[in-house]
Amino acid sequence: MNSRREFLKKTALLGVSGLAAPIISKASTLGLNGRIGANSRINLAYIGMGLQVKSHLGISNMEGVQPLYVCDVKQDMLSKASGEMTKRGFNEVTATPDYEDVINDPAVDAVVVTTPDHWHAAMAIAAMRAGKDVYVEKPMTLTIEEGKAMVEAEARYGSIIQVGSMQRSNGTFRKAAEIVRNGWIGEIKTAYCKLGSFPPAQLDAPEEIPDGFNYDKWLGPAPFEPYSASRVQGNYGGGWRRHWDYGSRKNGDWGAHHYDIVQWALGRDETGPVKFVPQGYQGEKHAYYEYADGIRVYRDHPDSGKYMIRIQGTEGDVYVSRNGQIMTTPSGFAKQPLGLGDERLYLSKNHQVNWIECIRTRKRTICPASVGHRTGSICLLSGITERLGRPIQWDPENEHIIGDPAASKWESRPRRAGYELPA
Amino acid sequence: MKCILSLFLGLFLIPLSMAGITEALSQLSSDNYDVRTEGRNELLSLFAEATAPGNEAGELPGMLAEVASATQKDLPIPSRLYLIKTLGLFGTDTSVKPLVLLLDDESPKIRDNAMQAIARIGTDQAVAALVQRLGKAPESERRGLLLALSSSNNETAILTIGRLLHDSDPVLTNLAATALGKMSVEKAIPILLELRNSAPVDQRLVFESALLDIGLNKDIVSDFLQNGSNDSIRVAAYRQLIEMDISAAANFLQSIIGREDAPAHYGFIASAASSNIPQLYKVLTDNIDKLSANDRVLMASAIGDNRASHYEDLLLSFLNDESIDVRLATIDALGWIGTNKSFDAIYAQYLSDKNNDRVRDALTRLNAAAFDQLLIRVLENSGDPIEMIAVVELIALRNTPGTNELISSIATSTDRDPDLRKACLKALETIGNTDSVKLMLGLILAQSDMTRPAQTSLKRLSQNLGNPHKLWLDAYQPALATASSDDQIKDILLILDGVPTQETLDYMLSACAKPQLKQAVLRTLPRWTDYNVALTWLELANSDSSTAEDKATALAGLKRALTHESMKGDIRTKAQVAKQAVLKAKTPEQKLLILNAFKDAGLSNKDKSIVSKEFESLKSDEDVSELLSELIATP
Repeated sequence: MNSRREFLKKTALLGVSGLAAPIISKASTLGLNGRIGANSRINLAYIGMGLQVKSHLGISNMEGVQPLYVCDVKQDMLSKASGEMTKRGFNEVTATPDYEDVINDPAVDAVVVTTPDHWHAAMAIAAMRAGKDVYVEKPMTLTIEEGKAMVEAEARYGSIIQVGSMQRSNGTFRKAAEIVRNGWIGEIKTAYCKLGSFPPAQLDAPEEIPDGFNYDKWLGPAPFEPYSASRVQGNYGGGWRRHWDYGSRKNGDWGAHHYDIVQWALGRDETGPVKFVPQGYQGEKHAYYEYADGIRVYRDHPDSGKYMIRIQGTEGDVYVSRNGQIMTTPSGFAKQPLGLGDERLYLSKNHQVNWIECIRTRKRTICPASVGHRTGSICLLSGITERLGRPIQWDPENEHIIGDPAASKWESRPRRAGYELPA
Repeated sequence: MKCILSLFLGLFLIPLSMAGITEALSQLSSDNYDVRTEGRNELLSLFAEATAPGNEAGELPGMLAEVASATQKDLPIPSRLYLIKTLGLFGTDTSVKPLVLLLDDESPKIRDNAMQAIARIGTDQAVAALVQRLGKAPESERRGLLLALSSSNNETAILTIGRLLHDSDPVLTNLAATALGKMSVEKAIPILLELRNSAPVDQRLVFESALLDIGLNKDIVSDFLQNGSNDSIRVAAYRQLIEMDISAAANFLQSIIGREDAPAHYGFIASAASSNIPQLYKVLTDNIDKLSANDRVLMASAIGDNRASHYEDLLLSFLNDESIDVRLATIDALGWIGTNKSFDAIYAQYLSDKNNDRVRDALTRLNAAAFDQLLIRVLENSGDPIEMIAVVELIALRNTPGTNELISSIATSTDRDPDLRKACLKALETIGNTDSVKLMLGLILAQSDMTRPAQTSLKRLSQNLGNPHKLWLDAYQPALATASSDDQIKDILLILDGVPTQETLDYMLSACAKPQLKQAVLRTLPRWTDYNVALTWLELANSDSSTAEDKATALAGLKRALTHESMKGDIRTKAQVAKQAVLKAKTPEQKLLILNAFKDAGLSNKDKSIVSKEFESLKSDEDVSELLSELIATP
């Protein structure tokens, strides 16, 4: 060891400019195909310009990112999206109703998929096959089969996938997970997640399909149902998310966030629960799922308290919600720094920035498809028990429902001709 | 009579599930869509019960027959589609025949659904029905049939699908190729290869994907590495090569080093680096001088991802790289795998840019226990204050164990450098405990040049520790009891928002008896984020000892306490506090001020329901009844 004065006053290895500039402004292009734009640019496309894309439009304004396409099957959404891009200073973004234009354009390096869930897998896999990296909203897929296909594609093509479980990029949730991982609250027994509920999915009288809306394509692989405005509406209070044909209801809504944090906290990203029980089955007041070691995760149980998630251990609890809300018993854990030897989880401060950085370095994102699939499976299996009204047993190693052939059929779904799942 | 009796008995002998099916089916033709929804839900419920493990032998056949019969009837198309879907989900071989009849339905949607349902049943009989149909199907149906066959996951479909590889319709050929790939039909490899080789380059992707699904042999890998229709295929081929023959993978890697312009170059490098296979790393490290900066970034990232700690020395060599991107990726990776030997280098980065999150993160997570011991020894032996400050900051960052007492003693030593003492107080904000709280309170009571820094750090530490009630009882209250001057008390009052409890509020209220202390209270209360502070403001507004100016300040504070976005708590808590406030309010104006906070907030229907319940007892108060009605009215 050099003298103390020497080691503390060594010339900074990073030069005068130091590390002040983020990597994104300096990194060369490192896309899978080595053909990501000129001058360190990532050419970006958006597919699905509804409610959720608003959270991601800011990616376009990141240094080194250039939006090339906005895509939606509704003309009014497309027009609005084009207008938004113009406001952001991008006057040459192509608006297209056909996602195939995005997939087939070799100039596109990365795609943000914010369509309803039933389209996620097909678009993401097509994009990966075409050499593009993908940010796909959560829940990752509509079926277990689709999830497996996405994981396979990610491994096959080395794609950089970010699944939109963005609570992992939030320091409060990460801290909660680290508290659990490091055993500060003892052995975990139970977790509670608040999901809430959507209004029931109702059939509506058929309505005339608005001009400029390709409803058949919106339906895509999903079974045909007559059009009604409320069926396709993007709405945080329900809309299309009420319908099992397009989403997993609250399981895929808040479940994809909160079950994901529980998975992370418990260190179960490579496995999953073994049993799912729906509310109402033999008097069960609250739906739950259970891991092989007996840890049980309840949905909407009064013991969750005021917080979105509560994880209960033998020596304490951690409660966590958005907006920086975290509480522990014993108190003080929330701000107690990790020490030497403590397990530290992946640090990402911004989900979209993490994705863009990983596109450049080919590092794994904080929520790749392999992780998103495990969380997504919990959401999907919870939905299957909810519909069947009975428990199911799940084999997380082989990823199949056990001993229930009727339920096993729900692991996949038929697809309408013309909307096949790409390899 | 006997007939009537038989009929009567017969009715009672009809299983409830069958009666339910009949009822549900009748609902599917209702003009009322809620009734149709109910019918669908009931059907699902009945079939779910009938197919539960252990129940299969029961009423299921009868139920399926009735549903199958209904699919042929004159029901609305969406209802028929739903019934067909139901047969697909729960049906058996007995459901195949009625579904086959639907393949001749006049509605293309019905026909398409029927194909899917037959496939979903997936038995040999179901597949045979689809195969037979395919033999005579019109052009418009063949795609749907093929899709249905390929989704059946039944091996008996393979032969038929295989024949479609030679179809004149390229869509069918592509679909067949995809299906055979998913079913991993090795026998299809030669024909898929032939189709791929004869297709134009921009149409090869589907065959290449199918071949990847089945698994490539070395010859095909070699072909795809050079001639894959896009870089994804080339990279996918390389990843399969890595699994099948590491030596060949290493040789190929060697061949692309230094050729950044070669197709998929970075994909190959990234794949090799992320594989964590020593032979491949050897190729990379043996040729390090030929690797580009981008290649080195990929290597560093992959080493970190794989937690490949045996490459620490390699990463350390990357810290001298001319490329900032390489250096940054290296810092990230060293944060994961670095040990004592990486500490110097990363610490030097930290000194040059303490605000860089990536460096801080790497330094925080670095596994360098021996260096922590060194830091403690440095701290124990007094030396250059600048050096000592850097060490203290580092200790806080790493939460080095066993340093609390040492840092505390420096913070309280009046003969130590003031900046060093401040740095120690700052460090205690994260690593301090209740004793540190008492220490800081002592510094405040001492009324020295450390008072201000101690106030700042004490508030932060108190907030970090949580459990304000315990802190108040164990530390703050005793400290205040020993205070011998109003200045000492004032300095503590100014940071009491760090311990937000009712006891603290009560103390602050009592402190208002002294004008000098009241000013400190009025400065602190606006920072309170607990709704209970509203009641304290109200007390101040109504206190006889409050001046007109104080009352105005208090009412503004009251409004802020119920409206500001920084306030923590849910709508129910807010409403409960507001109710108490209204009951304690002395004037109608005060009551209205309190309730107008809810009007300004714009309540959702759910919030209105909560508020309405909490304010039930206020509805008879004439001063507020009208406003309340307005507040809780739903459109």
